[in-house]
Amino acid sequence: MAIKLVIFDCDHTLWEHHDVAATRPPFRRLDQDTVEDARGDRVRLFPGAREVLEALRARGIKISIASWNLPEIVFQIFEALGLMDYFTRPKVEFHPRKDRMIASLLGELAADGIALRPEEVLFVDDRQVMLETVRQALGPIRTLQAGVDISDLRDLLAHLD
Amino acid sequence: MRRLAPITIAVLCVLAIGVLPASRKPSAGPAAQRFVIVAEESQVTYRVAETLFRDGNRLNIAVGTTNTIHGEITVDRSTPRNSRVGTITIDISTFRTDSTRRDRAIRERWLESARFPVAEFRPTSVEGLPASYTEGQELLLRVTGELKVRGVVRPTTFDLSVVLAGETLRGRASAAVLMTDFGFDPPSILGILRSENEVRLELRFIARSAP
Repeated sequence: MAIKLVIFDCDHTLWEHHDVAATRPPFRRLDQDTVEDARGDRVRLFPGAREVLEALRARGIKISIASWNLPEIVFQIFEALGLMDYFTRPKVEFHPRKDRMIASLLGELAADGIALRPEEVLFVDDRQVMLETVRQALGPIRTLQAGVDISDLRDLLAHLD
Repeated sequence: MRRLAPITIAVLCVLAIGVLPASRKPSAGPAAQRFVIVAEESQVTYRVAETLFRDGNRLNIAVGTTNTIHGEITVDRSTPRNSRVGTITIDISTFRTDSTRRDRAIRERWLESARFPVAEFRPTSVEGLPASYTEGQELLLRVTGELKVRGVVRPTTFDLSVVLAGETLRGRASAAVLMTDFGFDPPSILGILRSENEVRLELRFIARSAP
């Protein structure tokens, strides 16, 4: 079954930073894929991240976010990097229960008339416990562990069918 | 922001407790191993959003930290559900932000942590403990307990991720609480700033095996 929704984690998955909650806004864009916070701490997209987002959008696949983080910070980074338009109902919440975030996301999409089966959803996260928790709670959602199942984000494009 | 400090303390306590099953006092069984939180390698943080009126209504996030935290956990590796967590205490008068003026106001006027410096967390339940545990496995737990700040006791739940590897127990816990639930109003200074009611609390801790 073809994937119709890809959900990304942020830290260590979408960008090369272990914890952007520790950064201090405002952010300044240094280049296409890098921003710097008020103290000089840099957040850089992983190689190929923007290319993957663009490829997913070109294929008509919806893209969203499930992140244990501070929404004020993550959304400022998205804005600074010009990424906000890629994401549908991104979930950035201050708890680790991504099963709840994704359940909420799927419910909102269904209310919008986009009802998705678990098999049509791909969740990408660098932490195994997050992937397991989501599978246990939501059924046969497809998952990829960043850095383990795929070493480069562009590799996920081979997992869409 | 003054109210944030109490909440932060509570969060720290909860996090420490969340590492293992809830209990008022750790009790050592035959397979139990005692872990003590290493304050120097742990940190409690509170974050509160505030609007700065004199800076174009800019949204700022006030961040306060401390590592004055004490507590211990008893871990039963063979039967994780028998693990126990003791009372966690935090000296909330030691929270520091990027503003000494804010810190002083929190200690002396709002939180009054100079008068009530100790916050306590007593766990009452832990959800998510497995029947067995694989070394190095990350667990997601929910720890509920009684958080006491400035004499006000509130049931509080923290989400916790924890990993036990060898002689080190490492965890991150988070919770969102409301200042008004602990008897404070969000700080508001006419024409200068207004804080949100919600406080995000986070504890990152390391506990090590002790005799």
